[in-house]
Amino acid sequence: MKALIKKIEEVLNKTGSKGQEVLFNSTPNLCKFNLANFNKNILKILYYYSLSEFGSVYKDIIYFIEKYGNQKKVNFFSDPVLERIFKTAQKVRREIHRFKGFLRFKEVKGKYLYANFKPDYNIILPLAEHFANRMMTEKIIIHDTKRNLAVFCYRNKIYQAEIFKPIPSKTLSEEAISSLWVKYFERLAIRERQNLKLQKQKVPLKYRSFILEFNHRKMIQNNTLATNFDKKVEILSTIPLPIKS
Amino acid sequence: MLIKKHLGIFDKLSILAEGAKFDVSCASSGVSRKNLKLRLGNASRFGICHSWTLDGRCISLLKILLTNYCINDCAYCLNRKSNDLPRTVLKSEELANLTYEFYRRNYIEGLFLSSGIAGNPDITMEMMIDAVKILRTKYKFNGYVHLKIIPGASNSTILEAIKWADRISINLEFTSEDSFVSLAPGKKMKSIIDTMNFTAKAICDLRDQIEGYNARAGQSTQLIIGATPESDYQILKLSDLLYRKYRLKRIYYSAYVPVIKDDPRLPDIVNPPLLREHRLYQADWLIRFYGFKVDEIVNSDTPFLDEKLDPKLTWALRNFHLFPVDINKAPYEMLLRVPGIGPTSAKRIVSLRKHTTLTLKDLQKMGIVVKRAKYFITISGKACSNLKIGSSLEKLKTKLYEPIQFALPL
Repeated sequence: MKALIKKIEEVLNKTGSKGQEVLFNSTPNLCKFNLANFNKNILKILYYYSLSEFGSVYKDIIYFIEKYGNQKKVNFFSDPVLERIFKTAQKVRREIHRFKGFLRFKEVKGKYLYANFKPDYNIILPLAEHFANRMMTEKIIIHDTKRNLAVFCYRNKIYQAEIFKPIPSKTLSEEAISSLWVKYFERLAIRERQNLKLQKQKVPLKYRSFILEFNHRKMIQNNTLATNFDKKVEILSTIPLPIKS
Repeated sequence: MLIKKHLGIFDKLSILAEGAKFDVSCASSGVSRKNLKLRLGNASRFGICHSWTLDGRCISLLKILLTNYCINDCAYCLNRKSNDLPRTVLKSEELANLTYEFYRRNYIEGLFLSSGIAGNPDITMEMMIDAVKILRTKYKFNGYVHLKIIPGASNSTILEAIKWADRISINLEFTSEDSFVSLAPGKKMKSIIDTMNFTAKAICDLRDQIEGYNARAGQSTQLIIGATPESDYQILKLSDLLYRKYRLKRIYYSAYVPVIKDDPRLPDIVNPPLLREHRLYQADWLIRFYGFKVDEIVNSDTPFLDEKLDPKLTWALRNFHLFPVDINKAPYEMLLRVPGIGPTSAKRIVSLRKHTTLTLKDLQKMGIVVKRAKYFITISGKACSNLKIGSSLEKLKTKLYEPIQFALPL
């Protein structure tokens, strides 16, 4: 709960390059008092809304706190501003959930796992929290190429990072594993049930350029499949080139 | 049969994925677990889908067979003994390593391990458990594992499987003894049901134990739709029994895909009955989340679901005398029965109408499908559609008909 309040304040206190007003530093008394009154779900909605980078985030949140700060229960459908907050927060939440599945890491030299993506909203922090816990023992880098933000996660900690050198090249076993995955992905489809419309609905085209298995055609054309790789991965004895069907 | 001496992992993976793909279950939900002791992986209560194949089914787990060798000769199965196809086995270490490498690149949410029966059920299951043990201990894997129980495995082996997996399942496939005799001569319906019973008890007993994974996400099963003459009524009746008596978490309905051609025991169809499968899922949801009884949806007089309209709408039209219900007064249970209102929106209505009087516009904003619901509701006594109550139901039916897009609820 306290962590959530802190998070909201952090996001909103950032002095944006667009000259956004600083909300919480300027009016600390108003907000400290009121935020703690809300229940966790409402705070979550506010937090997600603050990540949306929507033009009127600051105005809307001040409006919300001033008008509804003392209410225990809030009807999000009664007021167009609240409706906007609720709907946008829902979109942000959905994008976070989507990218928990869609982010693809690749192993680069130095045993780092690197993933880049271009989300609609500024969701790198909640995503990093998920992966920092999941892959505690791995050194992972998540890179938002749209906003040029990056984080480095290791042992459940998140560090803000800046990428100023080119990302190292992929390891040899990476080539093998990723081609195995693409093969697996193709094999798992049941042709008799083909339903491309549904697939498009589930994996919108705008995300596909960052998802490995939807880019494999390019990969095969470039013939980047390695024929020899790290001997330590001894199980991957022979990998024939996948034949185009 | 062409015999290759050494199949590489690439070939093995394609063969074994091919063999496993007809299992529809892929959910990674039901258990929430944080990563605490510097292990790899956590589990999310709602599950996470990582990709969708061209048939629109999600990939959440690495769904694969340990081996596609099988001593059984089930008519509908791709891996049946008499089918001439390349056979192979994955080594436990190979499988564990593959899962580990896929997981850390965020391709998958965990492992779904099934298998053909090589030699005998117990040996096969032990091999499967062995792979999971390596994954859990050597690779410190803390993600989701779904293990399939091989029909005929002994109770002690099943207990061991429960300890290492998050969810386990045994596929029933058919709902009558006759179908088993004709299509799956190697399996017996009673013994599978007994196994389910044993599993349900074991999961319940182990629930409070801290150590081990203990299948906290419960057990599930799968039924094949359209390969046998069984009616929807029989299928739903059995599902209901399984949910109540054996506390199953999920029952998957899998439209029969004709992988084996020219078998007189199987229906000669080209396209899998996807629409029927879709309607069954809808009915299943009504039973689990909407408080419907099986006999309200289908009964011995009309044993099949209407494929044109969804089961909730069919029920509402059949019981039109119960409508319209008033949004501002009706109890939650009755709101749930209105077509176009689901559990989420029904809860929203109940919690918000205490403070304000709801209007049609409010309902629209709250996510209610007004174009369906308007024929069945009144708002503070006022009707929402100009269709007169008691006017022809047929007319209403044509108004409510809409083409659907099926999606597997996974």
